[in-house]
Amino acid sequence: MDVWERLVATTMLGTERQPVDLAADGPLGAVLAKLEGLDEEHKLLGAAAAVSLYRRVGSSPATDAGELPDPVQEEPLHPCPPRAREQLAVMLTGQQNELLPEWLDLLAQSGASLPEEALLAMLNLGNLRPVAAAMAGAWMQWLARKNPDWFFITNADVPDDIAWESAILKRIALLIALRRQDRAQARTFLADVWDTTDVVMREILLAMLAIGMRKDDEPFLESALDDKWKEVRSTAADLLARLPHSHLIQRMRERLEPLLAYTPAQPACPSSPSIMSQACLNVTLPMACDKSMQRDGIQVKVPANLKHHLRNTGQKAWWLLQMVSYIPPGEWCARWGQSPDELIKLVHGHEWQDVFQNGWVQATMRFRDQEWARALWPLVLARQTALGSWTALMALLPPAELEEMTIKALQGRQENQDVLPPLLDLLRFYPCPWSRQLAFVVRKRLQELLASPDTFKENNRSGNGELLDVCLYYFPICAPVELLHEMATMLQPAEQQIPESPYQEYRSKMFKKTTSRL
Amino acid sequence: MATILSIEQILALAPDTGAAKAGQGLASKGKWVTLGRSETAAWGECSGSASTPYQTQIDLNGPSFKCSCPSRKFPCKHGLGLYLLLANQSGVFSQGEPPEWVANWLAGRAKREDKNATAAETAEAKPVDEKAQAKRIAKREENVSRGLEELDRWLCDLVRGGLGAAQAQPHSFWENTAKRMVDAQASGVARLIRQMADIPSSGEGWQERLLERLGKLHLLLERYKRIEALPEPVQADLRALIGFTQSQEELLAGEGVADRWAVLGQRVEREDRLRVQRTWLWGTTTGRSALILQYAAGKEVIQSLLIPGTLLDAEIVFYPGACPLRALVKSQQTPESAPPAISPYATIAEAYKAYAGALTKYPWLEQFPLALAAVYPLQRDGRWIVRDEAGHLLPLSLDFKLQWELLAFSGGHPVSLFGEWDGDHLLPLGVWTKERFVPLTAVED
Repeated sequence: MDVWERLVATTMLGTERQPVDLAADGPLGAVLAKLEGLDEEHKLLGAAAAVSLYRRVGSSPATDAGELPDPVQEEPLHPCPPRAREQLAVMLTGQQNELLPEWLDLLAQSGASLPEEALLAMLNLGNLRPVAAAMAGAWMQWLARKNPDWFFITNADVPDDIAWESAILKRIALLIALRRQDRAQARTFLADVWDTTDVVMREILLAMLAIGMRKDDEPFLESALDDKWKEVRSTAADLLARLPHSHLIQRMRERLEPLLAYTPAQPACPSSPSIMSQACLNVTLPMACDKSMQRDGIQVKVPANLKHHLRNTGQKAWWLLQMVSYIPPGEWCARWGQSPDELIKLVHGHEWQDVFQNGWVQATMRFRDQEWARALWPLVLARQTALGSWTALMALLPPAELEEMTIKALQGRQENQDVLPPLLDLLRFYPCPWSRQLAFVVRKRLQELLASPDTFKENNRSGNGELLDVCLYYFPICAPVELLHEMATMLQPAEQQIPESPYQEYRSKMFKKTTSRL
Repeated sequence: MATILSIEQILALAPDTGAAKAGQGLASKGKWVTLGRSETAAWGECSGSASTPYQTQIDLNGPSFKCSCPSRKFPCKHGLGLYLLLANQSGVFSQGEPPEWVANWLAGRAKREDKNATAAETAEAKPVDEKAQAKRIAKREENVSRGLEELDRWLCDLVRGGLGAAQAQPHSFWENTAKRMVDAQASGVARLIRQMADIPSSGEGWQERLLERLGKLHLLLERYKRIEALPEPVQADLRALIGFTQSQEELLAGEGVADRWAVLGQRVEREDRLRVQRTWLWGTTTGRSALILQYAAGKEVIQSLLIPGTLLDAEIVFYPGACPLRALVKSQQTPESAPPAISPYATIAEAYKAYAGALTKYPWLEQFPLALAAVYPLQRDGRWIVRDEAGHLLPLSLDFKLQWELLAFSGGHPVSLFGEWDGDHLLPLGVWTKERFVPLTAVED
């Protein structure tokens, strides 16, 4: 027993039963020797202070003999943009979390990974766990392997102790695990539990069929269209619309057939073949929204949140819009022999312009049609359509094109302020790291901004002032590493001579911030 | 122009989750009758349940909030809502000169700041009845000395009878002694005794933990007996430990350390009937650590504008001591959101050495700030640790609930970490990840 252990033993028994033994080697022994001559109690207390401090100061950290962890391979996905991360953090606090599934979908489409701080929240997110499972990246897979509770992410075998009738979450987890192992068995499971589940559960479980959905899922989905709950019906309709060649799409085609009549451009009269009449599109609005249409997911009324945006669209036009959104947009091109651009031009100024533009935007996102995304992009970017998120469309565009577009926008010389907001958004939400070329163009624009005294007259929320801010903010984050040093050198002289303006102080902070990150 | 905080940082200002939620609900244009802003302030009128709209205002240099609503939360939901709206859609605010009700407040604030600056002078100018004061001090010191003598006898009785007997004692055994120390005007000593009360029921190793505490208390009593012979910083330490408070005005009148401080971590703990918030700062040029303590009683809200994960230009005054950590903020600028880059200890062994150094100067050290350059969070036999490449480990505190989050940040790669080390356990408070710093502060419920 060393001196500390002896002290502890004596303290337990009490000094009235056991005397204090202060024998110790070295410098500690010398210190303790000074306590001799005191009464036993003070000897003990004094020694306790000295020895415990001596032990603390002289100790070395414990050692771990185990293996170091197997690190996750670098996430092939690129990191979540800062703005999106902020949005997610807000949603995870419970605010506007109804947007979460859509947000996650957008994130997945843009090829970005979930921020690490959100992984846990996602794994424990109750109803939304399945969504998390469906988009688990390498990082989440790695994490989930560390905790058996998250087996549903890892494709591991389903633990035996999960009973059919157990908690909701386990049901979802099980369905996902099953769906990945044996799709048909997963369907059987779904059918088995179907009658005993409530509306919320049905909706969630049904949505899981999206994992690896194929033609043989159609009968089950079709039967769900007859469900007594509207929410379940609309989930089923949405899934069927994403299933290529589904009967639902075919029914939509048949409904639209008598409503749209396209007349191609043709010679105005046989005698002068060079004068062409314009192509035209005649539209008959549907007269009613019957049971079968509703069964296929057509909503009778314009939802309250869209009423304002679709104020020029009546109820019948709204039905037509939804039908159009269920048809793969490429079909119109094939049928009428026109390119997306030509068709967009065709409906420009048309009585039902809003119906077609919005319907096509919806359809483009639903069927992920790249060609149409490219054609619709300018409309959406200029905020001319009510529906559709342009970040979703952006994700459909090939990176090279996106880059070209961004470069063009950056080189744009127009003083027209309208081009600025889209450019700012392009830079803010650019879904991948900048190429060298793009970074060079940004740098050039930055140089111009810095050289122009006007830039500094504007605050950080408008015009070129805002552009300056956005460029400064995103450069260190997005540009290739090898350009950063050069950038820092370029910014230093500029930082020294920020022209006087009400925003001078703010700007100098912004510069410092940027240079520090470079 | 004042910097606008990010949404996350604004939400971090909320006194509780309820206020944060309500604030987000108010962060839309429709909720406000008027909205305006200038370079340094934002204001708005929000129709609430009262007949006249509430007047809400923010001094963006601070930030500091004021609202005419009756809520006792600070900032209230209106203040948060207004700031969130500003951060989200500054376009809906009309630029202009502040109206009278805002201008008055801002002017009042500016005045008060001037006043604070000259507080030192006025304090000196105040005539003091030196005789009466000397008498008061003498009386108190006598009280304390008598109390500590009594405590010395109590300690001796305790070790004479043995800790086995002490384990059988009820809670009141400790609490009564603590109360007697409060009566003797030695509240700091009372606190040390209250900390011991739970040790006998804290499971394996309790005897050693209790003996260590007893030893430290004894050391305090012994040193205090001959306080006059000790160097000044040590005297200051001893007096603070006993419970003599130091006048904040006096401290603030002294010279501070100006630096760009990184706000690294925050932690709220209950202590008796108080809640104590510890905020750790790290000087980016001086390399010094500082601990800011703030207290609140009952439902009172801790008004803190120190936001983890930000950088802060501030002047800080340290309490005197042999190993000064505790400090007061003398003056501060608007925090800036930037990942605080600091120079951490390269290895756990190095951190241990630094801790040992601090202990020799100040044996009563309770929490020591530790920043580690590269550690792996791991689970070993159900317990969480961090370890470094060399194989040294630090066990994580059982109070740390974000183990899985920490693991998620690491992905099995080493991470840089900031936390509090109490000699046995590390309580992580922040982690650096891919060029970002993420505070690991659990939400207080």
